[in-house]
Amino acid sequence: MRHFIAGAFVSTGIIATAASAGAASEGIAFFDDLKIWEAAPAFFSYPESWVTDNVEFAVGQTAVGYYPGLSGGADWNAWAISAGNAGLIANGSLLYATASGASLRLDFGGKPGTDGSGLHGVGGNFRLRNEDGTFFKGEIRIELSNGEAIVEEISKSNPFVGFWATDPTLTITSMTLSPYGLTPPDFSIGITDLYLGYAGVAVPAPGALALLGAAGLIGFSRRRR
Amino acid sequence: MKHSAFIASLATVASVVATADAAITAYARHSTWAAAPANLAGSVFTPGTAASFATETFAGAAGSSTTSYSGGSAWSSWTATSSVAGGSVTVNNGAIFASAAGSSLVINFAAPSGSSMGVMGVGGDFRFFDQYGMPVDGRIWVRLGNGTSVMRNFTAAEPFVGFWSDDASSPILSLRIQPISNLGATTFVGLDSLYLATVPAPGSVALLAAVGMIGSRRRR
Repeated sequence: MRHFIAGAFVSTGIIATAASAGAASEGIAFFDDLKIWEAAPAFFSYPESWVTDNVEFAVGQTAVGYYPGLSGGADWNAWAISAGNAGLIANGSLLYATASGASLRLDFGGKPGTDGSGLHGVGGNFRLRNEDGTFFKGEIRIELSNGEAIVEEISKSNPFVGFWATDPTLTITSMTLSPYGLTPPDFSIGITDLYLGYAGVAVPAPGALALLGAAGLIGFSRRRR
Repeated sequence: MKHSAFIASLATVASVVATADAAITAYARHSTWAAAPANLAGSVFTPGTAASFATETFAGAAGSSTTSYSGGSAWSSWTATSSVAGGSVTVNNGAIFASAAGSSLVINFAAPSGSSMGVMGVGGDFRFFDQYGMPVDGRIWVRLGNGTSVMRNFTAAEPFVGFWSDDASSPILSLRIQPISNLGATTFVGLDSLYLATVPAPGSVALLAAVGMIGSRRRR
């Protein structure tokens, strides 16, 4: 798992202000480059008190086997992957749908709280896999739970697609990846890495969460006595 | 049989008028964007929808800087300005770009009027340009007025980004091309091809379908 704080990423080659954004509306911003996705929150009109962070899950390295579905993460970065009526196969480097042409669905548990803090960004390295195990270049359609979508070409050299909700009030609860313009059979959509982005007030550290949980348990125990 | 066909056509009319779950879809390839109306299933796209396209290549003007620059006609009318108050835009060598480094280029489109749906699809070949209008690779944020956007590197091999709205109540009214890379004082953000598209208003499609069906019944 890898963390990144947006405020720490300021390159001399990047305009480090969003002043020229003017009065453009906020919504969903799509990305095809992981480095740009990581650096992008510096340009968003999030509240000044907010910080951003992201974590990586190497879902492709899941233990080899068949899975009806898979989940991971916790709190704001909780996730689940499924493939509709199909299952998932992990081969040690890729997690892919068992059925040719099946869609991959990702559900997210870290819905923003009342102050808007929570999951605001999602990205992944995706692949199109032939039945013989080779990868090929093609287009996929990624639709978010609010109906917005992107049709993007993915390949070995450009596997990344992601988005951020630049509108701090926007909640994305799921996204679905489908092949676009491809005719089954003989291919599957797979994922190697999943990236989830947090935006909001200070990121809840795992240790702090555990401490809060322990404190809550102690308090609960005392009240019961 | 005739009646069922007529009822079927009315059902089609109703489905055309009904509002589906609609939104904006972004496209990274021009060919996919141009073919999208046949693949979208929203309130304004029915099977066989014939979209109208207009392309602007900024070939007619050279070396001029003005506070605003306009083109197109009727539904495809557009006006480009700088995001900076009092700023200007430059047209040169088949490209249009903001005249000041760091400024965004803003393009506003005609609002729906009468039977016109307005701009429902927009795309462009986006780049940075030097003062002579020669393209330069760089990182750009292309933003629609409704908030949907794409931020990425635009290069000679991959200059295109496009969008379609499949919501009849949400035409595309503006586009903001915002520089993210800082390439120096003599490099400006813009585009050298602007692609616009519209589709028939749902009401007119329904009306045409109904008139066609009635005409067919009379001929029989």
